[in-house]
Amino acid sequence: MVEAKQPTVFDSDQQQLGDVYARALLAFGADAGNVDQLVEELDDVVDAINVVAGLRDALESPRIGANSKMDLLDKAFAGKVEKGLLHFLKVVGSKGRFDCLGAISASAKNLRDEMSGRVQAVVTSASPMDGETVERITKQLSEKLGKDVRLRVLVDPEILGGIVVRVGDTVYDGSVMNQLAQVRSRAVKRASDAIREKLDRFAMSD
Amino acid sequence: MKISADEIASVIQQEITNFESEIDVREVGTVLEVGDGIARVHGLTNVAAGEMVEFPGGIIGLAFNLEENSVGIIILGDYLKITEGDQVKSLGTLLSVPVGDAVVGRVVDPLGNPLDGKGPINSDATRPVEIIAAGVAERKPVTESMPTGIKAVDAMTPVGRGQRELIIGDRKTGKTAVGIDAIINQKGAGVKCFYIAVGQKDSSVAGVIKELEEHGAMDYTTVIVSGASSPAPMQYIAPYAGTAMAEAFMYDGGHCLIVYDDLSKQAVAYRELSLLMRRPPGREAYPGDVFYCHSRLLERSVKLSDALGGGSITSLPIIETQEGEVSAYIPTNVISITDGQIYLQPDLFFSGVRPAMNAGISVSRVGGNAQVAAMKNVAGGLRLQLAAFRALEAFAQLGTDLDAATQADLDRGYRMVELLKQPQYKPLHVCDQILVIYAGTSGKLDGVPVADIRRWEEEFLEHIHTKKQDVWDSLNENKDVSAVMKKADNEVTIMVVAAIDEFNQSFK
Repeated sequence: MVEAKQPTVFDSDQQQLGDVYARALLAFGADAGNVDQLVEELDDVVDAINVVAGLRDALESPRIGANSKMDLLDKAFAGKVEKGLLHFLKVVGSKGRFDCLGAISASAKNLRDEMSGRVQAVVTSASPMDGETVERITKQLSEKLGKDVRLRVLVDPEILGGIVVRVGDTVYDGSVMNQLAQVRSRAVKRASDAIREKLDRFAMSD
Repeated sequence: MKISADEIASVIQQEITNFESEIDVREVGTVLEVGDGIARVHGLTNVAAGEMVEFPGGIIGLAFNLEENSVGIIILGDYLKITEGDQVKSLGTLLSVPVGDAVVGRVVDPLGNPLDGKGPINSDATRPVEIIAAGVAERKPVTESMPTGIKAVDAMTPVGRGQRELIIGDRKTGKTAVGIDAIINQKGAGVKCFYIAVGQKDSSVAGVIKELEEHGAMDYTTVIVSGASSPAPMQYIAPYAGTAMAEAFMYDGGHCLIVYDDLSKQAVAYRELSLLMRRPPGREAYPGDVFYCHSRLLERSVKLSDALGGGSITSLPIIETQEGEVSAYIPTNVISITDGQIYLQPDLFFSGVRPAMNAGISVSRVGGNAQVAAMKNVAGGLRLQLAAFRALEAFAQLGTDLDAATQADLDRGYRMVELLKQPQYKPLHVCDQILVIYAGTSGKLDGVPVADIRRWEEEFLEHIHTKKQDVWDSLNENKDVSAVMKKADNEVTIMVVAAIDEFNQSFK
């Protein structure tokens, strides 16, 4: 599976398998002491498989025998990736689970972050921020959350000003857009309440 | 309009001046797929079952299915406006509806939005739609009567305040009519009524509302409509929403009557939701918890203890059977939940017995304690007598010669059946009912031809109300005395017998 281009492409079966394989890979990496390297390289492998024309189809195809796939993997990745990772890819290939590789990679990243107390955060601002600001935000977030924050910075002029921080499923919205929306809904509510209180004055004037 | 734009402008200005910027913290998810009134959402990690969520555009949903990697949401609104990839926000609250006097006399949807074009519902009070029903310590036995105004029901399957009496029967057997008559009969009794239409044709609901208005019943009635064209989630929550509105009055010490019309359609809506959510189908493809769906709803009809104000909710759930099949899944479920059932039969209905109640299998398990003493005395054995009469009638059709005693029983039965017929929208006061049923059971009508029974009833009641109001008044005063209409030497009994005899002499 390609790592979700759209956030809505989501296959829970593959995700479940991906979790299992990722846990195995991380346990292996923890013993060997090179978790980070494994995860980064797996990410590169997934990218390579998606980029090279036909490679992904060949690896996912059930019509190509396991032995041919092993050869293909040897030729493509031997010497370029950690030996352990190559073995892992071969296991995935021999079980016919290459379609889950994207999910495995995504899951491995999450698990690694979780194990090492890291957390991914997305910051959206209206205009590009300088490096110093990004660093300050990272530092403050790390203090608040008690975790090592990895920041991804997005720019969205639609929020007008302020910043929106998303950590996991929680959104801290300090955007001007959101504040305007809040003012609007409160003003509308107050105005309609005020009208409601004086409803009797709404007699139709002839 | 006499309100000035400046005034509104100043209110808005005030709001802007006093606005304090706060960081808005919310938990979000992303819509993976949407359709048929449900959405699957990725994210919302900490959402609780039954919690409200908000889609863009203010559309409300309820977390229905919590799965390992996604959350199933039922959408209470226009799901066509939601698209894949939309952000969903959890609101951290449970669904609630407006309650209080503002909803009385209104026609609303299950979320409490007005449908009758009479302006917004001005209520600050709200109640959660789903609550756990009152426990054993908070309840009291059903002892007060809740007259429906229908002779057959009040005499044979009496309903008490806090009771759940099921109305069950095939299509077109007058189920709704029983509920509507019961609502109309609450006029002046201080009982708030709720008519909850689930999956009904909008034209039928409009007809019911018109009848309620014509009989002055909309002054104390709320109609909650979730018609056949509403999405399944709305049909599913409508009964709970209506009950929440009634509970506000009940916990204030008031009395309520709810007609759920009908729960089979709600079960179908729930089945639709459950199947869309991929919950495993069980018998008749209903999900395993369809019993709980109805039991937790009907358990909320209670008679509260005196410490809690003694309020009550009486409910008349309606179930439609297919070809008289009471042993289908939903009918058996609801029969076992309720405190009795009124079974309406098509063949009786078409032979002109209306209400078409089958006396043999209609029962009221608690209402007897709540029945007015005088009514209990005159109608005590009526249900069994009528059931025996039906058996006898079937036998007599064989054309056998009958002995005089059996023939007399049969004649009495024909007269009683005739006497229990009642036109729609004409509920009778309990004293009127006692008088005519006494006349029937005591044999005072044996001399009146069967075809004249209904004319006799009409003229007799007119006679009582115009010439013998004192008899009626003393019966009304003493109807709770246990000896009335039981002992022949009781003062009231003597007066009633004399009045009937006197009228019989003049009846032609």
